[in-house]
Amino acid sequence: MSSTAQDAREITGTDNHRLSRASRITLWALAAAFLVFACLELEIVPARLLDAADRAGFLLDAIFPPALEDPINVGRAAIESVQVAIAGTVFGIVLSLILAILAARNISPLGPLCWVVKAIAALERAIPALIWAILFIVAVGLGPTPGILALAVGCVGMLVKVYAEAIEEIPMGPIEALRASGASHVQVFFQGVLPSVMGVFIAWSVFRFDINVRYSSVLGMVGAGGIGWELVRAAQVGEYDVAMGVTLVIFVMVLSTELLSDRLRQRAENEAHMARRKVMEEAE
Amino acid sequence: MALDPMLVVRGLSKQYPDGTKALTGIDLEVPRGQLVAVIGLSGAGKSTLLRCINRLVEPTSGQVVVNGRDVTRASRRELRLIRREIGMVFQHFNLVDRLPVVRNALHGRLGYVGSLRGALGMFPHADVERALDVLDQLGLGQQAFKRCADLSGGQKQRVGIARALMQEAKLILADEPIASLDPWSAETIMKTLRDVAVREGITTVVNLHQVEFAKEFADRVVGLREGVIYCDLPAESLDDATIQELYRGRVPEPVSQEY
Amino acid sequence: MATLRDYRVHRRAIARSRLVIWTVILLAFGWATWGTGFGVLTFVQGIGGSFAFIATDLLPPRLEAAPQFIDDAIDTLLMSYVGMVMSVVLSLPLGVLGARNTTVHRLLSYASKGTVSFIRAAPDLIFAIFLVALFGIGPLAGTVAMGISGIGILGKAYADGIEAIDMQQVEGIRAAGGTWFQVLGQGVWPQFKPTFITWSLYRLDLNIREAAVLGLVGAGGLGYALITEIRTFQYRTATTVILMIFVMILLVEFVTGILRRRVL
Repeated sequence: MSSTAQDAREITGTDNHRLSRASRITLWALAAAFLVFACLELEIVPARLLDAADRAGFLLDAIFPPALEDPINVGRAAIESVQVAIAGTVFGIVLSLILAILAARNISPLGPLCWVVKAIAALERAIPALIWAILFIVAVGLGPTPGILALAVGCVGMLVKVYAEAIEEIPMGPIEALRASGASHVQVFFQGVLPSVMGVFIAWSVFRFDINVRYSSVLGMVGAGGIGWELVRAAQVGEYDVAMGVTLVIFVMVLSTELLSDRLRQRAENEAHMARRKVMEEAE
Repeated sequence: MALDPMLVVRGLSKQYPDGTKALTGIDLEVPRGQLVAVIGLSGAGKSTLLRCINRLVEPTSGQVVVNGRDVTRASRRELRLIRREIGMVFQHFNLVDRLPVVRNALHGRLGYVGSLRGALGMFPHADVERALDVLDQLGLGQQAFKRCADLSGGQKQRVGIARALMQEAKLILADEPIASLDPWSAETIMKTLRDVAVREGITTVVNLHQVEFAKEFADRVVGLREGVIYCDLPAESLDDATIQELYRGRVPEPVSQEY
Repeated sequence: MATLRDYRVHRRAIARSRLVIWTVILLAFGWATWGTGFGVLTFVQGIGGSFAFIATDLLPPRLEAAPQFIDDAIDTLLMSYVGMVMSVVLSLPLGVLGARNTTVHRLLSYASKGTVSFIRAAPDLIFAIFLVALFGIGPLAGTVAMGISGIGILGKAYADGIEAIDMQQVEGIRAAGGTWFQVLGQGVWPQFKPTFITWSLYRLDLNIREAAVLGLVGAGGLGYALITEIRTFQYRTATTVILMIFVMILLVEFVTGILRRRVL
């Protein structure tokens, strides 16, 4: 313990931010020692890994070839997962937009109290969507409803933060210029504020949708609707080939929605460029 | 009536909430069609003076009359009507970077179209044709549908001027329009402002850092020092002694001499 | 010169592109709410009901229960750390081979990037399910799950970071006759180091959060404690665990912040 304390003194004692070579080596050594300690503490020891190697052969045998026991049912569950992700994301975005306007320092109607909204968002960010799902199931019962609520509430923490930051970072120059040319408040908002934040909003919203699709595929594990339940059920009864089959369906689902949302985002972002190309094409 | 001055400033003072006295008792009369350069150290109050004229900054006391209308006493509605006749050009261009050039030029029409139409960016065809025409005259015909973000500094500033022209401005206020530009673009922009002032008879007030440009392009030079007018004379009679005293020993960067 | 006709074409192209986007979004939203029987009303009711539940059953937290979870908290911290190291070790080769400018062969770059995006597509709970079958219930399965799912983020971040470096500096060393490893160590590493440290530490932050979820499949730590408390209806104790997770996240973010500033 005393050596760590001494080290800490050394670190705080140095004037410049960069560490000296000696203390950097100490830092790496400490990191390595901590790793060994952690492994021992968690009983991640070679013996257990060797143990697992035996079981690995058996598990691989059980997994391959992957099987789909009830394709129609699994397909329906996958679709429900996508639906849960879409509905959860849309509601989450709307909720976050409202809260972001309250949280953004420069436009918040709450004035200096806007940090309260930010603090709530930060607290909310600490709770993963799956934990929300468990709480919502207790509150409203099983099915897709708690799943949608969990995804909607689960994205608020992150989206409020990034939306509010985007609003706080709008360049004030163009806003001033529009006001100087006699534009009304509505015009300033639509022609000045909105175009400046739109790109950031779209990028983060799409990013969050991709995350939510991934989450929605596991929400079923706690009973919040969708394909996750099929996976857990198969694993619990030891049908690992079916579990792998469901996993592959999840892969297809996640990758294909990602592809689609990426197309949509590119379309939205390149709007001006695409329009310009169109003009040039027609001119030729 | 034509002999009426375009801009009258009487006893204008501005004190910021933190106690800084930016302007004290400014009196200024600018006849129609004149190009006035306002020079002085940064912090002398040049920017505040310009922003008090269209009330982007609320003056503490005094009166501003533009084209016979009292700006300082105008209601919000009246202010909007006055502002649309005052074009403003900024140091950092202040364009909406993500929108195409033509839309930024059209923003000069926002004060003229209905609030909702303007908000949705639906401008009358006559306005669009004029915007394309103005852009073409300023050498931006090829750039009309590019995003402003993709333009060079000099091009951006020309879009800023196009926006002011679209307002059919009677008065242009240019706040350090060339401070962020390389000397060649700076020269072009000053020429453009000069041409516009002469051709369309637009009264222009330009804040400048570089005395050389003021001497070359302005009809009249107003020197500000610590918030008061230190000198006010025709550009050709501005001599080195006055400049030295205005900048009190600190020689302003002689940008144009270097190149 | 651009004409009014060009302007019309331009506006119409933008309008059409927007129409497509909004139609897609609205149709998707309509389809989703129809399929799940969810609506604005359900949303408001659900949120209202849930917050009533939170206010009455979850609050106030039973803080005196906190000491009994300290061991779990330490477990979570250790799991996250080992998981991070595992991700870093596995992601580095994938990143180097995946980056276009340092890869050995173009095909290897595709293969490596493909592996990474494949892993990124899977939620870590899925890994955990198979790993629990392999290692049995306990922290080991959770740790390895974190280690593997971290590849999805770190492998991509590393490859992107390496691709973004200034190759002129690297060319210099290559021109001086450096071997592949020398080029990596002397040309690439110094420029890549900030990205490497930032993202690796960021992964530690994420792991603390994910540990809570991994508890679901019996992977130990605070997450497991949380789920146990909820399943046994000890909601106010569960709130205590949530607060502890929150404090842990803040603590780790604080420490990684200091480390980042010191090491960069």
